Amino acid sequence: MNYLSRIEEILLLAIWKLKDNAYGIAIREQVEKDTGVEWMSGAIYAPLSRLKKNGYVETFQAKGSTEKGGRPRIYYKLSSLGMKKLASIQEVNRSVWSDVPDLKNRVKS
Amino acid sequence: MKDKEFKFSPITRSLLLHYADEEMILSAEEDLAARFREDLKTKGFLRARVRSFFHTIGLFLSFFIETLIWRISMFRNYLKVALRALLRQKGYSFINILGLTVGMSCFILIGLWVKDELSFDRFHTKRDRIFRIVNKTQQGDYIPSPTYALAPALKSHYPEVEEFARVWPWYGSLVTYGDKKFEEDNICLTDPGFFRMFTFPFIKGDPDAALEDRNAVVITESVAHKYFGDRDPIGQALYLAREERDFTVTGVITDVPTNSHLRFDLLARVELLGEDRLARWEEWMGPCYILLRPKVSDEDFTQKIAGIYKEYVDPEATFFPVLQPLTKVHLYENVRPGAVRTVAIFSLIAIFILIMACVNFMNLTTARSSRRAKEVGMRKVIGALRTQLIRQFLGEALVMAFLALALSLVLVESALPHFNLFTGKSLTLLSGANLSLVLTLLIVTLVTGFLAGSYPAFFLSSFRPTLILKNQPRSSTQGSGMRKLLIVFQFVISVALIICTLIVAKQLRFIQTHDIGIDRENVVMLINNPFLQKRFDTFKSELLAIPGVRYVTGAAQGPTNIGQSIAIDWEANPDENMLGIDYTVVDYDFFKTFDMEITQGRSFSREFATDMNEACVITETTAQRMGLEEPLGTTIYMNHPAWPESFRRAHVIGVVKDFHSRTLHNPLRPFVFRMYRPWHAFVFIKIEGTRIPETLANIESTFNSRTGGYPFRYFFYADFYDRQYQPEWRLGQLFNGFSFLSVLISCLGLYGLGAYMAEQKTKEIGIRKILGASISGIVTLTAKEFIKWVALANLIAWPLAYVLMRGWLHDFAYKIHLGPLIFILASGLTLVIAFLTVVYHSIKAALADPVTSLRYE
Repeated sequence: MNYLSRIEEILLLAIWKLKDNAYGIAIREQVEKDTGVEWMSGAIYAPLSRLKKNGYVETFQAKGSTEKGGRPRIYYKLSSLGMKKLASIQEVNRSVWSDVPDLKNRVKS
Repeated sequence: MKDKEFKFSPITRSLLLHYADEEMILSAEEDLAARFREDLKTKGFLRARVRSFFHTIGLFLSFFIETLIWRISMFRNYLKVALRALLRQKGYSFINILGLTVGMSCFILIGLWVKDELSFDRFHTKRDRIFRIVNKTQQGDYIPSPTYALAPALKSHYPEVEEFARVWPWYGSLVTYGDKKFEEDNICLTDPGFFRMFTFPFIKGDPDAALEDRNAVVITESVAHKYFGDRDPIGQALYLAREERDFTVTGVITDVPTNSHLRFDLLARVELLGEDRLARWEEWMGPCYILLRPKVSDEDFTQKIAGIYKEYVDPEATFFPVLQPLTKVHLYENVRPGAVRTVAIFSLIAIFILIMACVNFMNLTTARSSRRAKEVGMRKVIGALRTQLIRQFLGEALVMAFLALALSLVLVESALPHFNLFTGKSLTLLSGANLSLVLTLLIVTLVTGFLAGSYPAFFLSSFRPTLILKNQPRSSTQGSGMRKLLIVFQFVISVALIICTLIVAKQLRFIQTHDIGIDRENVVMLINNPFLQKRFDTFKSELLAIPGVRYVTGAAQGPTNIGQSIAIDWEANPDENMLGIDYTVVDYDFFKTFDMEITQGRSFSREFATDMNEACVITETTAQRMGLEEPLGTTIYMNHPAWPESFRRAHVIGVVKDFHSRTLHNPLRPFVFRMYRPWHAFVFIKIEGTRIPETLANIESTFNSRTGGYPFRYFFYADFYDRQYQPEWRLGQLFNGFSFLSVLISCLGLYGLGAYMAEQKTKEIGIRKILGASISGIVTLTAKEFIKWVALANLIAWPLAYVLMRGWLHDFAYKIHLGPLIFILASGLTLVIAFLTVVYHSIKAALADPVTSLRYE
């Protein structure tokens, strides 16, 4: 099985969480919210384009939705392939993390 | 304000478009614009601008890396598909790659060789300003032996001359250091300017001052190691037996590279020749080099040489010494353009073999790919784009081509040691200097792969799938006109090469068996030394006492490699000018030793004491050229500057039958023999053909008892003679190899095409068999087609090879006649090979059960 990279996984989840409102800035803000750090734009859009090429993510343009300046805004959503991928990643993550106690308490500071 | 809104500039946008799609850029732009607005509020305009600039750079880099990774993974996919296609047709792939590999290997080998030939003497940093002074003769030949008085005179007269160096290949000498004792053959004498002119890197010592001292000697690294081991050689004394005194080592240089035409192990001062000889204007001595100052035109300077020559030598001279650039010395050595012609021939062969291999490769690739028309149709129906098909076919061809390149590099690397041994060079494949060769090969591989793949890629991919899949009667000879043309081309080259090989071999056999007028069998050649020269008669009588020794004589050199000439005059000379004539000096019994027949008069004899000083023997041709009916007793004046005036007059005491004093490249030249014992550098001993080892052992013990310390070394004169034709012999061997390979390549091509044709005709042959055709009939049917084209190739190859070989034979004064037999033989050979190759397939097809062949497809 071809595993997703971590950023791909985070991106897919962010898009899924945003549902119909997943466009560029929103995705970045979601990712930043999830991870708690600021992200360079390049670090977001390069993996996003890879996800698109691999067919995990589709784009669409919502009617009448333009950002300021009149340019069309591009929205992203999971394809059925992407959805499947995300589901299997969840599966993998669950089994990988099962039986692992909370590690935070064990880290000696 | 307009600037308050972030936007990609048009340049940024178009750059980004190379690596990302439109939508992605829009998203990113929107994102960056949002950041910019944010920053504008909190950080001010300038910092916001800088931040967005860095974000753009980061974006660009990320997209760039992303695309790179993507492309590599795509490429891996093509590679996978191509390798699968390759493995699906193992036999065909093998033949195809093998052909190209062989061709490329030949090309690389010859390329390395040619590159090395062209690199001769180019390691000298001042190479463009160094010239060799050569005498130009009336015939336009160059003789690199000006008078040694010329160079110092030029230096003192003209400020344009920065340095000069006369280089005299000296006699060998026994060299001693402590208990270490070796015979050194490769001693050169030169001027102190030598190391200021030429670039021979010093390991120890100072290049500028190394030869300033009269007793200095500079040695190479390996010589230093031989005598001194790990000790410091500088300042040590080497004893040279020829001079009977010590010389001080003042410098150690790295060994002379193989691509230097100057070859030496030890270098000493040229004054050892004697000051008087160096100052003489009349004697032609040896090689001499001058270094001109920067920006001095050699053509202008040649005029000045003529002036000084007129002043000192001959006011009426019409032929003067001229300057030959150092970098041309090797290729245009002395008289004929020897090396340069071989280089040209081999470059041509290399290019032809490579073209042949490439053509072969394309031929087979295209032939096979038309079989895949159905696959193309299928792929198209499923939805493959045309560009994808083009990429796939090109990819397959390129993979094969590069596989062949890789294989041939491996092949060459493993063959190089043998090739080096054979050519006497030290070539390496993997060195920085061969970058251009590797680049050439890369380009050739790319072009070959591309051309070979372009037919299926562009032609097949244009088919309409419905037509292919309906199995429309698509002509099986699609593109076959082109293929036939290529086959003809291949065979033209193969046949021409075979003819050349046969002619070279025949000429070499002719040389080896040609009667050169002397008997060179069972003649042993020893190197004379000063010690022996003084006691030659005693030594001779001791040798003659050995059973098995028949005659003993001495001479300045063997009778077959004589290059020096002299001007002679005689009373009845009808011409105003003196006659140029070859000469050598020999001892008693010389003619008996080499079994040369005296036709008139007698040989040098002890019974006439005057023979030592005033007798000469001439050849029949000489008598003819001098116009003498009764040559005996004629007095000849020989203008040899090194001889005392009294010695220059000689009476003809005998006439000897003509012999070839030079290689068979040259016509018979007039020749005169004198006696002059100080110059007898070799001893020749004629022995019985039986019990040679015992005789040699006895000669050795006699030699050792006679000469204190000189090591015993001997050659058989026949071997020595053969070595004179080594360049031709090597040429012959290389021709053999290359023509074999070229025939192999064209047969591989023919084999592949034969297989393809037979396969195409499987159904036809099946039907013919059912209708009652005989096997022989079917075989003839398929074979006829090919044989026709091979025959045509023969007709084209004949005149080609004829013209080429006539040029090569032109160099020989004595040569074979170019009869039709060789041409017919070569053609017969190729026809038979072609026939066998094709017939093999047609028989296989003809023997097949028609039921299976009709079910085929």
